[in-house]
Formats: sequence, C-alpha cells, structure tokens
Amino acid sequence: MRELYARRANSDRPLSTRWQPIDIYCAPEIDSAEGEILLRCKLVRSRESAAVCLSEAVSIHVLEAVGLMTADAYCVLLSSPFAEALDHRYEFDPAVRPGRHWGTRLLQENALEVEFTAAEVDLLSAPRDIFMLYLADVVLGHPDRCTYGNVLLVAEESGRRHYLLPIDQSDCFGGNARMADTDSLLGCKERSLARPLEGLDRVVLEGGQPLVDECLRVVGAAKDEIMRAVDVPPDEWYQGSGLHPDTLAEFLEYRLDHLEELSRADHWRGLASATEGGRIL
Amino acid sequence: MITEKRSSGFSILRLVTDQTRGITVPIGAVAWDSSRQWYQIRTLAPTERVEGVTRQRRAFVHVTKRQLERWAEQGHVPYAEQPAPPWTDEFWLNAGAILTTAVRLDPPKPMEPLDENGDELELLFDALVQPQRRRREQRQRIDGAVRRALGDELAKRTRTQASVRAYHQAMEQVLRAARGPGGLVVIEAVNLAARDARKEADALASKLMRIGAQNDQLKAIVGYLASPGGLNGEGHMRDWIAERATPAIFDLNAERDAFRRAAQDMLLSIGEQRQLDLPPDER
Repeated sequence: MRELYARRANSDRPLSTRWQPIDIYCAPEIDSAEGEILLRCKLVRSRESAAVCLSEAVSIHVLEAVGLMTADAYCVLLSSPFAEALDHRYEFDPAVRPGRHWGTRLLQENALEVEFTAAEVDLLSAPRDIFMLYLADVVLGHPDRCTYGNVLLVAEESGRRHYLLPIDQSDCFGGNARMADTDSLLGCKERSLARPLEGLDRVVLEGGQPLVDECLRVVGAAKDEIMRAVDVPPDEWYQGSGLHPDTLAEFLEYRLDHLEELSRADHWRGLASATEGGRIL
Repeated sequence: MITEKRSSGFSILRLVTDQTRGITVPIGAVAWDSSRQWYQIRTLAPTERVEGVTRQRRAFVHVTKRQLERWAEQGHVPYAEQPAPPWTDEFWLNAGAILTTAVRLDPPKPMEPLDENGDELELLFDALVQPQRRRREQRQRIDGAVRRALGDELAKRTRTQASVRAYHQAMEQVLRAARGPGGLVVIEAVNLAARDARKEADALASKLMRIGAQNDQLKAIVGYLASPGGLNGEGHMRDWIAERATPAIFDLNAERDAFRRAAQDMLLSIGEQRQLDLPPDER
C-alpha cells in the first residue's frame, strides 16, 4: 500500500459514524507539505478498529480486481506526538495508537454520499456496476452496502453522468463482530450476507442473462488477483486485530468457489430471462 | 409540567464548488415550525441557474433533496442517536452532521415562523440562493403574487403587460394598468428578495417617474416581495421607490389587504372602465 505521513487534522470533530473517522492532510514526506492531500482516516484505537483497517484494505483490492472504481487508498503513518494531540483534541477513547492507519482520498465537490435507490440508476453511465458490486460484496461478505454513505455518486470528468464508487468496507467478512473471532468469521462463510442495492432488479432485467453471466465470469477470472488481496495490509493490522491472512484467504476462496449459490445466480438469471433483456413496458 | 419549546428555523443547503478553498454556493433552503409540525425544502428548479452548479452537480441537489425527504418521512436520520421529526432543529442538526460531501447543510438558525402556503419559503429561497431566472419567468412570478394580492375581481379590472405613454412619448410596458375618465392606474411590482433587487428597484422608480411625467393623472401602486425578516436589507430600496415614485407601496404578503384596498380605491377614483381604452396613439 502507498504510505503517507499524517501532518495536520482538518476536522472540527470526528464524524458521528461508528468508527469516528477524521480528515487529515497527509504528505509523502514527514517534514514537507509538498504533495499534501486530504484523506478521510479510520484510526486504529483497538483490536476492532485494526480489523476495520484490514477489512478496508483487503476489500478495496478486491473491488479493483473486478474492475470497479475505488477511492485512492493509503496507509497513513501517525507519529506518537500527533496521536496524543488527536486524543487530546477529539477525546478519543480508547486512545489512538501511533503507527499505520487507513485513509482514502476525500472526494467532496464531485462526489455525493448516497443511500442508493432505484431513482439513481438513471444517473449512472454504467448501471452494470450495481450487479458487479453486489457480486464483490458477496465475495467479501459485506452486509452493509445499502447504508447511507457506503456508496458515492461521482460526477464523470468528461461526461454528463456519474459512476458508482463503493466506499466504507469496514464491515466485510460478515461484520466487525465476526472479525474479532476466527471461528465466527469462518462460521459465516456459507451465508450470503450481501444485500443488493435498490435498482438491481431493474439493472438485471435490462441487462439480461448476458449481464449476469459476464459479471460472474469477470469475478471468476479475477480469482488469483482477489486472493492476493490478503497480502495488501501491513502486518501491523493483522497483529493488532488478532487475525491471520490465512483466515481471510480461506474465507475469500470459499466465497469465490461458491459464488454461484451464494449470489443466487439462478435467481438473477431467472429474473433476467423474464424479459430476455430490454426494458419492461 | 415540562412543555416542549417551540422550534422554528431554517437552514441553507450548499454545494461545494471548490473543495481546496472550502468554497460553497447556496442551492436550497429548508424551513420548519414545530408548533404546526411543518417543514419544507426548496431547491433549485430546472430553469434556475447558480454559477458553479453544472448539470452533473445539479443531480446531486435532487438526490439530496430526495434523501432528506425520505429521512423526514421516517423521522430519523442515519447515524442519529435518537429519532427526531423534521419540524425540529434536532433533525436538521443530525442531517447536517452526515452531509459531508458535495452537498452540505448549514447548522439551523431560528427564524420567525413562515406561512405554510409556500410563498414565504420562496422569498427565503430567493434571498439566500439568489438564482438567475429568465426575465419572463421573473415577471410571471411577480405577477402571480400581484394577482393573488389583488384577488380575482380586481385583477380582472386591470390589463396585464399594458403599454402606456411615458416621458418624451416613449412607450413603456407595465405589469398591470387600467384607464378611466379620471386618469391612469398603474400597478407594478418588484421582488426585493431577488439577486437583482437593487437594479430592479432603481429601474422601477425611474419608469414610474417617466410615466408620471407624461400622465398628470397617474396613480401608481407598487407591491413588493420581501425576504422573510428583511434578510436582503431591502428597506432602503422600498423607501426610495416611496420617495421618488409613489408613496403607495406595500408588502404583497404582509400588507396584502392594504394593497388590495389601495388598488380598489385607485380604480374607483379614476372611474375605471372594464376595458382598458387607450387613446388611438397609445394602441
């Protein structure tokens, strides 16, 4: 993972979401502001939040492997003095640990956090991404995609439409509670877990069976790359969370090998064949 | 017994146009009143323009409005500790806390409660957002307000978009007019909450002065739209029109009855005819 040094915070207060992310300006060099960018950071403060960083890092690699747009992601290096300053200012409890944390480039003026609905499908330049994202969430065991803010609509630079950008993969592998325990994590690998975004029915109906088959094929072809995702996070996060890369690898491999049944592929094919593609009149 | 305090307020919806410099533009207004369990959101209409709001970003505005309305229906904002109805400050505080990308919501501010009919929200929107509108649309909006203030009966007795003779025989178009044996009544209006309020007020005063210079028996009445609470600082513009053009100037919402009575008196005083008979040289 690319690494940047945390230099200065930009948030008045942490976000009111579960992991209390804050925005921090980070740069490639610790003693220079050159190349500074603003990242939204999830800070390691506990075993659970170390697992969050693991979940995020592995997931973003999987999403990229299947061709979805993702936010630029970084490992944020936080010094002891800065960690103390953050604790003092934001009253974090438990305290922030010096070391590596998760950060993604903050998208604001051209991106909108949404609670995705069918009405937003028409804004997308590639509605098929909704189905691809669903399959990726099945692989990752991500139950939380429909929650507000877990996808962004991003305005295309040169076009008039938008693309879908998944954000916040802190609850993959069945959710943070399951990640705390290896047996619990592996115990849920046979459950579907993922929930499709609203509008998926319409996308499948319009895309037809070719859409379903093509997306499944893409995920299958990306298996090797997906499996490499467990090597992406730094050891620090594995140690902090108590998880082992082999555990995550076992989970991912099972999900990939059973994707047809976990994703209910036959259901989607059946839906698609209701109109054999094309619009419902 | 503890009684709940009344909460009436507003907030501004903004679009981020320059993330690096923290620049936003207002694109909507929200208002609420807990005593009537009322709230309303007004965002940019398709025909309204604000600099920096591209077509793609306009889509963000619509999506956000739909989201807010959904949460309002549910009485709960995601991640909020407690549910809260949308006619409370708490709801909009919670919403503002999670709108952190392209669309933002300012913290709530208290305000005199607005009328539920939507007219005052329109004025609040005009004052806060100051959108650019096509001239024709601006005229239609203001004439609609005048028509409502006059009432159907009086409105029928005036002619819209009438042409009248002004200084040095130039023709001027006015919002409404009526002519009778006793003179000419001109009814005009100006939106003092809009972005071009000062320019429009100056133009209106000048126009009425020029019409008066050609018509000894001119009776002019002006209605104006004011931003709630005078947010746009429009008092001086109103006073200028009163001093230079006509003392008969009224707030179309707050002084609606007075406006109507004054218009009625003026029409009676000129012995106004049902049809606006213009002399041949004014047809």
